[in-house]
Amino acid sequence: MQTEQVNSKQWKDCLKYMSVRMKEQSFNTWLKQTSGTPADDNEFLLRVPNQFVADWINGHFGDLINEAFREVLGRDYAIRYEVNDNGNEDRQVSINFEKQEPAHSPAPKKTNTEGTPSLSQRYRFNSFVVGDFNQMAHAASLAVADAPGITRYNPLFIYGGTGLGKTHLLQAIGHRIVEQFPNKRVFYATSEKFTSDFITSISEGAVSRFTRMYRDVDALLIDDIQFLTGKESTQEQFFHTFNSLYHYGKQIVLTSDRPPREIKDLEERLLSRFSWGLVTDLQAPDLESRMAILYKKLTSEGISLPDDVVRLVADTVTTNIRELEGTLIRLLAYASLKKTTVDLSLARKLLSDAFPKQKKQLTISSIQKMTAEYFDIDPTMMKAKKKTSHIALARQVAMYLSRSLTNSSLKVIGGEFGGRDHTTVIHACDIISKKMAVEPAFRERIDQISASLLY
Amino acid sequence: MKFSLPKSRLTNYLQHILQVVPGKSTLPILTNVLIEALDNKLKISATDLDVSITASLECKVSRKGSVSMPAKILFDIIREVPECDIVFEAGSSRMEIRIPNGSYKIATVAADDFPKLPAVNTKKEIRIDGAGLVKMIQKVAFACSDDETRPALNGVLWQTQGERMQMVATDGHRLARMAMDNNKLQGLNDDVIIPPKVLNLIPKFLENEPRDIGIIFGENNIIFNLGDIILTSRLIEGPYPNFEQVIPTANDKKLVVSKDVLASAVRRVSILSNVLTHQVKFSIKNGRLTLSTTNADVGGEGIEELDCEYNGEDIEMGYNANYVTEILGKVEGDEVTFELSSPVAAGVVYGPTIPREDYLCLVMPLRLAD
Repeated sequence: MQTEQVNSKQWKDCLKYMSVRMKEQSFNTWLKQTSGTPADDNEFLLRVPNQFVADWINGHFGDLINEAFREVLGRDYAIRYEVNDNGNEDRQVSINFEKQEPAHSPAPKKTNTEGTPSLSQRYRFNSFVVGDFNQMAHAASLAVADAPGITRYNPLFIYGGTGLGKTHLLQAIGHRIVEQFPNKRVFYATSEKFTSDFITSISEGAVSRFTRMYRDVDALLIDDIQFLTGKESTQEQFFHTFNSLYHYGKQIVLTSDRPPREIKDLEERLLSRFSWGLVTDLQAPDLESRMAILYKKLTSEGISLPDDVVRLVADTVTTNIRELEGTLIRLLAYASLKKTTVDLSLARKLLSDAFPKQKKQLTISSIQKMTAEYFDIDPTMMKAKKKTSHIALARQVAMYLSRSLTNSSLKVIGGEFGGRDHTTVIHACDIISKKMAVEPAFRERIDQISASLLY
Repeated sequence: MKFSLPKSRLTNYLQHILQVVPGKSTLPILTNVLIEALDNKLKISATDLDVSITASLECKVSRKGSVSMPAKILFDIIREVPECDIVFEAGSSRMEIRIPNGSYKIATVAADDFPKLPAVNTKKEIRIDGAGLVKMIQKVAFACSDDETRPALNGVLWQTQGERMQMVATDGHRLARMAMDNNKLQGLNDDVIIPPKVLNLIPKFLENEPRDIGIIFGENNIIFNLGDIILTSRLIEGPYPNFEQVIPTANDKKLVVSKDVLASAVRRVSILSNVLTHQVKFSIKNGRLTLSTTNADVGGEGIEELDCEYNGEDIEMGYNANYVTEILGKVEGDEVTFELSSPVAAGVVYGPTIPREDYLCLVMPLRLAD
C-alpha cells in the first residue's frame, strides 16, 4: 500500500548495488519486493511483505546490505524490519477463549503415522535438491516441519508445475514432523482421497468418522488441492475442516499446480483462506540446478556418467524434474540391458528418439490451418476481410503464432493473411501478448495451439 | 378466498414481515408471503428457513382459503394505496387487490408449496416480562460476530437458571453480558444460542406496547409468542466458548470519565484514525486522559485531553474507536468506568446505573506500534 510511496532513493540505490552482486533469482525472490527508508540517524527501516522474508533477508543478506549502506550511502545503519502486511487487523488483540479450555482441542493419538500410509520413503528433505528456483518453498517447508502450527506460515501453500517437487516437499514435511514429534498426528492425502473419503462417509452414513479422521490431526497435508474445483459440498467440508484445524493452531499444508487465485470454481472464502499464511512457488530449475539434480540422482544410484552426457540430458529436458530423472533412468536402463556404457553419441541417439527435434519447419499456412481448427472457423477466413470478433481474434492469434514460431518477416506474414499491412501484424501481436498476460486461461489456450503445432 | 381490511392495519405488519423475507433466495418461494384467511382472522407468514414470522390480524373474511404471493410486490402496492378499505379476492391463479379507484392482480402460488412453519405448542410456553428481554437484547446483541468460521459466536447465548437469566454476545474483540432476575422463569435451566436476526425483531414489536411474551424452547428451535406475532428461529449449535473465564476480575487500574464527554471526543479524534484499525490511543498520565491518533495517509493528527479519575500507574493503550463508541452508546448513566490491567489485556467497561455484575462490556485493545 505504502510500499511504492516511501521507497527512498537511498534504498533504491542500495538495491541497485546489491542486484549485481547476487544471483538474479535470489534478488527477485527476496529483495526486489522490499522498500526502505532511513528511519532516523542510526536506523534504516526495511519494509518486507512478511516475517518469513524478514528472517531470511536478515540471515542471508544482512552483510550484503550493510556493505551496500557503507558503499552507497557512505555510512552504517542498523536495520529494522517492518512487516508490511496490509492486514493491520493483526494488531487487534483477541479474546483467547482456547487457553482456558484445552479439553476442547483434539487430543493427540498414540500413533502418529496412523492414517498416513501414503507417505513415500523416497520423499524426504535430504533427497531434495535445493536451488534458487525452489529455496523459498524449501525453507518454508523446513520451518513448518520443525514447528508445525507454530510458525506464521499456516497454511503453507506451495504451488508449481508438474514434476517440480510439490509432492516431494509435502511428504518430506510429513516425514520430518513424524520423526521429530512422535506424538503429533500427521495426515497426508490427495484432494482426490479427501473427496472420495467424504463421499464414502456419506454413503456409509459415517460422516462423523470422516470428520474425526481429518480434524483430529496435528498436521494436515493435502496434495493437489486444485482438484476440489467444482465439488461444492466437498469444498464446504474442506472449509470446515480447514477452519477447525486452523482454529486449534494445527498445521495445514496445501499444494496446487497453480496459485490460489487461478484455481477456478473454488469458493471465495476458501481462496482467501489459502492466502492467510504463506503462498510460495516452485519454479522450473535452471541449468545448473538440473545438473545438480542429475548428479544427486546418480550418486544415490551409485553410478557415474560422463559430464557431457549429464549436460546433454539437462539441456534436453528443461521444465520437469520428474521427466529429467526419468530420462536419466531410461539411459541407464538401456545401457545395462545392452551391456554398454553410456557415452555422448549413444545418449544423443536415445534422447533424439524420446525428444524428437522440437522445432518442425512450420509454415504460416499450417499455423493458419491449426489455429482455424482450434477456433472452429473456416481456414479461408484467415485471408478474408470479415471482422467478426471471433474470426478477428483467431486471425490475430494466427498472426501472433506466425510471428513467434517462424522466421518470417512482418511483411510476409501480413501478405499471407490476405495482403494485410505489416502494422496490422504488429497490432495483432500486441493485442495477443497483452491478452495472454492478463488472462491465464487464454494463455493456456495459445500454449496448447503452439504445442500442437510444435510436437 | 376473499377478505377486506383497512390499509393502515396491513402496512404496519407487512413492514415488519418484510424484514424476514430474503431479498434473493435460491428457493424463490421464500420471497413470497403465505396468506391464510380463517374465521375473521388473517394470518400472514414469511420465512427464510432460519427465522419465520406469522402475524395474525383481525379482518372481515367472507371466503376462507390460503395462497402465497410475492411479498415485495404486495407491500409496494399496499404502501402506495391511500387510506381505505382494501378487498382481496383470490382467483384460481391470481390475487385481485381492489381499492375504490381500481384493482391490481398478481399471480399467486399454491399455499402447499410454501415451507411448513414450526408448530406452536402453547402448553410448553413460559411467559416472561417483555420489557426486560428487550433491554437485554438491545444491550447485548450488538456484540455478535459475523465470522462464519465460529458459528457459536454468530449468536447470542441466553442462559436461564432458576430465577435469573443472562445474555452474552462476543465476536472475540468485544463482549457484552447482561443478567437480570426474572421470577417467571419457573426454574427453567437452559442454555441456547439464538441468531441475532430474530432477537433484533422483538424490540420493534414491543416498542409501543410493552407486554409479557411467551417463549417455547423446542428441540432445535425457539418460538417467541408476542400475541399477534409469532417469531420462530433455528438455534445455533454450541458449545459456546467459556466466556466467564475471560472476564477479568483483578483489573486494578480504574478509570472513571464522563460518558458523553468521552464519547464525543472519541468520535472526533477517530475521524483522523486509520481507516482499517480505527485506532485511537488512550494515554493516562498524571491524572489526565489523552486521546490521540495519527494518520499517515492523510497526514493527519488529532489529540484531545479529558478530565478523569484514575488510580493506577500511567498507561497507554490503543482501542478501535468503533468498539468504544458502540459500547459507550450502550452503557447507562453519566459516567463510565474502565477497569484496566495492561495495554494488551481486556478492559472491563460499565456504568453507574446498572451494577457491574448485571451489565458489563469487555473491549480488547489494539497493539500500539512501537
